[in-house]
Amino acid sequence: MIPYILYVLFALGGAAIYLAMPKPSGSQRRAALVLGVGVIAGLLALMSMHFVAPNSNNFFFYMFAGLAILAAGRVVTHPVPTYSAVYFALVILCVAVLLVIQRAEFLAVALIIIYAGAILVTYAFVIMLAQQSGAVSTDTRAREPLMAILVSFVIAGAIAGKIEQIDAVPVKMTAQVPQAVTDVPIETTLPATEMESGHTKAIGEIMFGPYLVVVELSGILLLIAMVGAIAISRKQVPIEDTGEPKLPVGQIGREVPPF
Amino acid sequence: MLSWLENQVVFSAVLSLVLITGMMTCVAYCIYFERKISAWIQDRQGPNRVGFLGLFGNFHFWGLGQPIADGAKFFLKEDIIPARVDKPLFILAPAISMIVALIGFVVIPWGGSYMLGETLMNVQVANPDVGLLYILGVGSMGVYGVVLGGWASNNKYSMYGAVRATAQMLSYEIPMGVAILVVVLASGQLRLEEIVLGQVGGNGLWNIVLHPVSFLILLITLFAETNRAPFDLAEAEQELVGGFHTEYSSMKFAMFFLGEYVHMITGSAFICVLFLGGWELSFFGIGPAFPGTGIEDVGLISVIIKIGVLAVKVAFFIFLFMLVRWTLPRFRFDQLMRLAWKGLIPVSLGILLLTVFGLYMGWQRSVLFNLGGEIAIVAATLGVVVLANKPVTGRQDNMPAVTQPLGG
Amino acid sequence: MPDPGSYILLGAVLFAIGMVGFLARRNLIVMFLSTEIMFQGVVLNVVAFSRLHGRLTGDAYGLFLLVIAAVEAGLALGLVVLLYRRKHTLDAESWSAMSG
Repeated sequence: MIPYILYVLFALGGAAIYLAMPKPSGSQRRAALVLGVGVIAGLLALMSMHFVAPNSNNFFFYMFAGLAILAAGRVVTHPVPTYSAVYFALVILCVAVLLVIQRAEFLAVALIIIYAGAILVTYAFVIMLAQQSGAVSTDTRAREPLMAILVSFVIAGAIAGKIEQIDAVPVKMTAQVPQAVTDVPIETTLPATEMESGHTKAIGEIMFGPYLVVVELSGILLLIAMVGAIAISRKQVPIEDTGEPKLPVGQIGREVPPF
Repeated sequence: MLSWLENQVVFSAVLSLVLITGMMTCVAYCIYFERKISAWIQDRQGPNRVGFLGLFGNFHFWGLGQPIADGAKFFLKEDIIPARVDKPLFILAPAISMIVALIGFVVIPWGGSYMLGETLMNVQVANPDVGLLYILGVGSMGVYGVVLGGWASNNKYSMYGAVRATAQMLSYEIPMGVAILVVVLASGQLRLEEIVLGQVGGNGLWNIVLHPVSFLILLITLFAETNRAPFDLAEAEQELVGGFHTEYSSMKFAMFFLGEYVHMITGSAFICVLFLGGWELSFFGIGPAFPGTGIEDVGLISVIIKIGVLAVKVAFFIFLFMLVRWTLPRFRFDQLMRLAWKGLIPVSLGILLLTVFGLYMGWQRSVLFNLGGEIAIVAATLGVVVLANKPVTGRQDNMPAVTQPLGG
Repeated sequence: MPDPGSYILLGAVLFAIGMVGFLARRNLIVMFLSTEIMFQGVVLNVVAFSRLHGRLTGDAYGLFLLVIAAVEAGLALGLVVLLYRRKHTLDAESWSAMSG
C-alpha cells in the first residue's frame, strides 16, 4: 500500500516541479506552490503514520525535512541563479539540523563550514560576476524538463518501492552484518554510548583508526584538485565572439523593472 | 522560590534573554565610545550635548544620552528602498548580517558554573560538543549579509564592495581556522568551557603564553572578519562611496552597523576564551588565581566576578579594535591578499606543524619550545617573503595588459 | 530520533530533485548546485544507514563525501570560469557546438 501512495505523491511532486520550471511563457508558480506544499505535507504525514516512532525530536524533523524539500525545489526552479544559491544555503542549514537530530553534530557543523562557508560563497562570487545583465535565456528556458522529471522520479520511485523492507530490518543488527562490512575492524560505537564521549571524539577515532589511509588519500585528492583548479583557471584563453552584445568593460548593473 | 530556574534549558533561555539585552546596550554604548575615542585621538570633543532631556540643567553627562538619541533617529528616519534593487534580497541582507552576528554568542562561556539551589548550571547558553566549530561556522555565514546586500543593491560600488568582502573573508578564514586548530590541538577539546578550564591557574598556562603568534594571527583575522579598519575595504568610503551599504538607509543600515559591533563583541569574547583564559584571572596562568575565579567557586558572587573579569578582557579588545581603526590607514587590496596568502597562511601552517611535532614529542607544554619554534617560523616566513618578493608599489607602467576581466 | 526509513525517503526525494535540476537546467552554476543537493540526499542516507546499523561508518563516509564535494566544486568552478571567459555565457548548451 505504502509504495503506491508514494508513487502518486511523486507523480504529483513531479507535476509541481514541472509547473514551477522556468519557461519563456512564465511559470505557474502559485499552482506549483500549492501542489508542492500539498505533496510535502502528504509525504510527511505518511512518514509520521508509518515510520516514525513518537518522539519530541520529530517536530523538528518534520519542520526541517519539509523546508529542505521546498528549498531544494526552489533551487532547481528559480530563474535567478543568485536566489538558487540562497535557497541552497537554506537546504544546507536544514540538512545540518537533520544531522544534528541524528546526533551527528560534527558532520553537521563540517557541512555548514564547508558548504555554506566556502563552496557556496565561491559559487555566489561567480554568479554575481557573471549575471550582471538580468535574466537571460539560459535561465528562463529549461531543457527537456518533462523527461528530466520523469527519469528522476522513476529513480526515486524505485527507492520508494523498497522502503517498506527497510522498515522491517531490525534496528540493532550488529550480529548479522555481512562479512564485507565487518572485515574492517571498527570499534562499533552505538549512538547511546556515543552520547557520553561525544560524536566528535567517536568520529575522530574512526577517521584516524581504520580509515587513516583514506584520510591521507583525501588530503592528496584535495591537493591535486587545488593544483588542477589553479592550472585551469589561470590559463589565458582567446575570447570567442558569440555575437551577443557585450556590456562595455566596467559597466555593472542590470535592468530590473521597478517594483 | 526559584526552583523553576533549576533546569539548564530554562536557565539558558533566561540567560540568552539577559545576554541579548545586555549585548544591545553594550553595542549602543560601543558606538558612543567609538565616537569618543576617535574624538580623543583627533583632539576633538566628540558627542557631548545629549544628556537626559535636560533634567539636570546644564549638565549633559558627557553626552551619555547620545546612543538613545541615535537609536530613535535610526527608527524615525525614512527607510528608502531604491527603485531598481532586488527587493527581497535587499531586505533579507541586513537581517542575515544581524542574526548571524547575534547567534554566535550562545556558546561563549561567560562565567563558569553556577550552583543554583541543588543543581550545577553552566553560565553558558549552550555547551555543544562542537562549540568551537559552531563559532567558525556561524562566522563563515557572516559574509552572506554583505554579499547579498551588495548584489541586491544593483549598484556598481555595492557590487565591488561585495566582491571585495567575499575574497577577503575566504582568504582570512584559512589562517583563522588553522590558528584555532592550534588551540584545539594544545587543549584536546572543542568545548569552549573545557578550553577555559584547561587554562585555569594550577591546571595550566593561558594559551597566549604558549602560542603568542597564533594569538596575533587570530587577532588579525578577526579584524578582517569583522570588516573593521584596516581591513574595511568592503566599505572604503574614498573608493566605493559606502561599499555594500551604499544604498541602505535608516534601520537597515543600522542593522549592518549593529551586526558589525555585535560581531566585534563576540569575536573579542571568543579570543579571550581561546587565548586569555576566559573568565579566569591569574596573570597568564602563572600567578595565584584571583579570589573567586577558581573552578571550585560556584557561588553567585564568584559568577559575577568571573563575568566581570571576562567583560574587562572583552572591553580591552574592543578598545584595541577602536584604537586600531582610528590610527592605522587602510590596506590596499593587493597588500591585503599578500598579507593573507604569503604571510599569515604559511606562518599558521608552520605553527600547526610545530604544535603537532610538540605533541608527538611530549613538549606541548614547554614555553621555550613553542616560543622558539614560533619565532623561527615567523623569521623564516618573513625572510622568504622579503627575499623572494620585491613588493609592487605605485603605478606600474609595464604591467601586462589585462585580458578580459571576469565580470567585464 | 525518527526512524531511518524517513531519512532514506527524504534522501531519495532530495536526490530526485537534484537530478531534475541537473538534467533540466541550462545554467552551469545551477547544475552544480543541483549536484550538491544530490550530495545532501546521499549524506542523509549514509548517516541514516549508519544509525540503522548502530555504528559510525556512515558518518565517516559523510565526511569523505564532503571532501569529494569540495574537490568537485573547486574543479567545476575552474572550468566554469574558463567557459565564461571564452563564451561570455553560463549556458551549458553553448558547449554543444563541440560535439559537431
